[in-house]
Amino acid sequence: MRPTPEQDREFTAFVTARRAGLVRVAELLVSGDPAKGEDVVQMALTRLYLSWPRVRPETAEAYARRCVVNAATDERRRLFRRREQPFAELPDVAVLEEMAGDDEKVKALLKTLPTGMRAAVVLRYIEGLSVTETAAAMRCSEGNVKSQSARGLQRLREFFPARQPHLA
Amino acid sequence: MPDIMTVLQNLPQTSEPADEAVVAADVARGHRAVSRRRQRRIGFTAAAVAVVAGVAAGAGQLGTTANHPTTTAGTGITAAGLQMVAYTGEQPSGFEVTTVPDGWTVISSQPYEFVVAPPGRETGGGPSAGPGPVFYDGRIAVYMLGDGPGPNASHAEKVDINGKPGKLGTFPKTTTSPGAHWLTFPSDHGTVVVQVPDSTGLSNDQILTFARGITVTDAVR
Repeated sequence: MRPTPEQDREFTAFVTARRAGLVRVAELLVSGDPAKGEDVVQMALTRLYLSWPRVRPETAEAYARRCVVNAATDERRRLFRRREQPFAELPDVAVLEEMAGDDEKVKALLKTLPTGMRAAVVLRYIEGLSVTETAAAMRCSEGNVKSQSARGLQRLREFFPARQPHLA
Repeated sequence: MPDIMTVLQNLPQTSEPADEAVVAADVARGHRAVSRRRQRRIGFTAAAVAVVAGVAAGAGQLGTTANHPTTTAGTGITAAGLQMVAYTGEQPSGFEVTTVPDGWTVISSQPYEFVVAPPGRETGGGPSAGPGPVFYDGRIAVYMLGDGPGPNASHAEKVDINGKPGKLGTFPKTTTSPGAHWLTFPSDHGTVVVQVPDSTGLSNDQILTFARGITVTDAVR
């Protein structure tokens, strides 16, 4: 079922208002790379458009978030296959320690979390969604959201102070 | 040193409206995706129907017609001995169905369509549940017409569906597709389309019986 011109206008208005926020979430879900985040949002919005005639206005934002999480998971799987590159020598300096600013450090630490755990942390603590909303976006149980987000936060806490640069 | 929660909650927010050209590109991608999906569905249906037709033709050449379903003159549908029975399985969302061919089940349910498949065809030929296309070949598809013009009703037969005026017609036959039957009837929520590939073996009466057992509920979209 193709969206009607009126539905096209509604979709356009929705995307205009929400796109920047979706890109931000997508970037956080796929290792902080803006280009990959944009790819994810384009995929998600295409899926959203296909479903738009059946999406109720009050659930559109939640549905869009779910599309982004799904697209980010797909992208993450593709990235994982592409990303494995052998190196003769491992870097002996942690990249995090060379970064300035807590924001960048946290974003870098988020990359180290497994996909589901990262999604739970991003949606719960950065986007400020409730457990129920996060579970809906991730299509999992609320219990799973609670455990993933708690473990993710714990892991971030473990590494965040330790990776602060040493001050002379 | 700030707590990790504080850092997470204070990551920069973005709330600027998206650029008009970027949004237009998103809509254009959506349009192309709709076209691709439509072409895929048509392609799969045509290919599957062609295969069924090929198998049927091959079987006929082997001289075993005595053991095969006979063709009902004028309809192009084979009378395969199917019996219509009360449906006792899980109801689709957006619809209620009371009568199905014996052994057939609802394999896909969306608030705007559902698909009923014969035994052994519940899976395969495409996903049977969840998002994504559900292929109609060899299966009965019921969906809301939406805003489109619907099938060409110039040669359709007028039928009665629970006191409402329905139409029963055929999709044009092509070199790759022996066609399918369609039936439309009005409901309180719009026009309902029942699509029945000839390969299912349902007669016109059985299609009518099936359609008369369909109720569109308030959950339909």
